[in-house]
Amino acid sequence: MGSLSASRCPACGRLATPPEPYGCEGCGAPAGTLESTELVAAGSVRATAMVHRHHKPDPATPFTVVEVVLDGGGPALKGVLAPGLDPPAIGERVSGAVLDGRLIWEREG
Amino acid sequence: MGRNILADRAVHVIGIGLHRYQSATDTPFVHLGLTAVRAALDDAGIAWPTVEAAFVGSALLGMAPGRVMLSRLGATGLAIQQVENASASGSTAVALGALEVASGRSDVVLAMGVDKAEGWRVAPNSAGLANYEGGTVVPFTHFALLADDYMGRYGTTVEQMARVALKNHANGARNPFAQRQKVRTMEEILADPISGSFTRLQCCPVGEGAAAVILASGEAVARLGLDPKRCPRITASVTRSEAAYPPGTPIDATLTAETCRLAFEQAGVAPTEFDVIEVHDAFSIEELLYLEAMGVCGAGEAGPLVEAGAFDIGGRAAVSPSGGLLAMGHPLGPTGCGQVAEVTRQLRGEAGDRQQPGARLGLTHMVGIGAVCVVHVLQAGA
Ligand SMILES: [Zn+2]
Repeated sequence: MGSLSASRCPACGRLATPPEPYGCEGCGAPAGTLESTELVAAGSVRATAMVHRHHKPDPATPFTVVEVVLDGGGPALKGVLAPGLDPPAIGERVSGAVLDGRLIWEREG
Repeated sequence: MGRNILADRAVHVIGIGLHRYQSATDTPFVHLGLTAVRAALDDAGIAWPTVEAAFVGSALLGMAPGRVMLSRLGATGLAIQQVENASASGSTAVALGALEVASGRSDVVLAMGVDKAEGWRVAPNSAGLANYEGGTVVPFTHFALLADDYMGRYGTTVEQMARVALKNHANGARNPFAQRQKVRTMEEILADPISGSFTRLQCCPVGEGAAAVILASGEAVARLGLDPKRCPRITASVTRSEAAYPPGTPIDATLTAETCRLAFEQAGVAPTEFDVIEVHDAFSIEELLYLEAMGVCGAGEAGPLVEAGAFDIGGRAAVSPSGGLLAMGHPLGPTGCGQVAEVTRQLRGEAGDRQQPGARLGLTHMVGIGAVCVVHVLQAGA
């Protein structure tokens, strides 16, 4: 199970991942005041979509995009389901890892 | 919240004109734009030198499309401003034009959109902001995920969502300015998967075209001897952008809900009173999401209602009688002006076989990536 580097705003508590480079969208606090933190890449599935048309050869179609509500709060995160897996159901538990800049989800356990 | 200057000084739509939306051609944007503006001047029955200021919406043409085009109507020296606000560029041109008239600075202004689907440059993609998506989540997948979440939440079926496209393609078939002018069967709508439950005909085509709207003060309507019944009044004009909503908030629906609530307050109307609604239906799910966000119906009700024909022409409210973005098309810059043109036609009772009977109150709604939302309320002329 991977971890995701993130930033937390000490003024308003807003989480951002990847870390916010400019300023807090919640309250405008400058990036230099934001604290570094980590989020666990695990949560429950909010939605899935199998993609049949893509403007680039990578990833090969069809692939499935999964949107996940993280256990640790913060924004829901979209990533690609690991190849060869059947799409998970809404509410199913998944965990993820970042590979070449892309978040890859698979069923937990 | 500042003063509502649309209540102080009336702003009317006095002329509309379009160049058909179409797939990309070699036609220069100047020809597209001039076709729409000349049609709008003819419709209003006024001469070009009467126009004091022009707001030109486009997202893809680049720098300075306004004067090189409008000077070919006679270079009168009028004020010309370029307006870029992504998919809401044309709507924003209308908003700025309405403000120009309401402020009293001008009496007669042109708001138009013209665009060609070429040379895409999208600033958020070069903003220096990282994400984990690696380019896999394009707009149709963003909305396919929203559709999956929505259908799971309310039990809405794939067929109910597809009914949006079935209806809007049937409307577009009756609109000579629509890019897609073909009645489709449910089988055709459900063929050719793109992403999630979306198929090709549930995603809008992005091509080229132009739409023009001429706005004037109440004094100018009288001075120019225009028929007030053909000059609907803009009673609300609201522009908002996405705020830092708490995690878990449905962003797209919330932005629309907030923008529309302000517009309804400004116009003094309720969401259930609209006869005609032109909505940002770039993808079929959006019509259901936004009708509920606006308060036209309750949460989860839009699917069964569209299936029962409530949003057909002749139903409780005609939604996207132009064909919407799904069938009329979405050439970016023109789209918002085209919505105002359609609602104007409807409120005049001049929409022919697309006419919503007894239409008195209309709404236009556009969303642009970023995200921004622009909404106008129009009231039939008296
Ligand atoms: Zn903050």
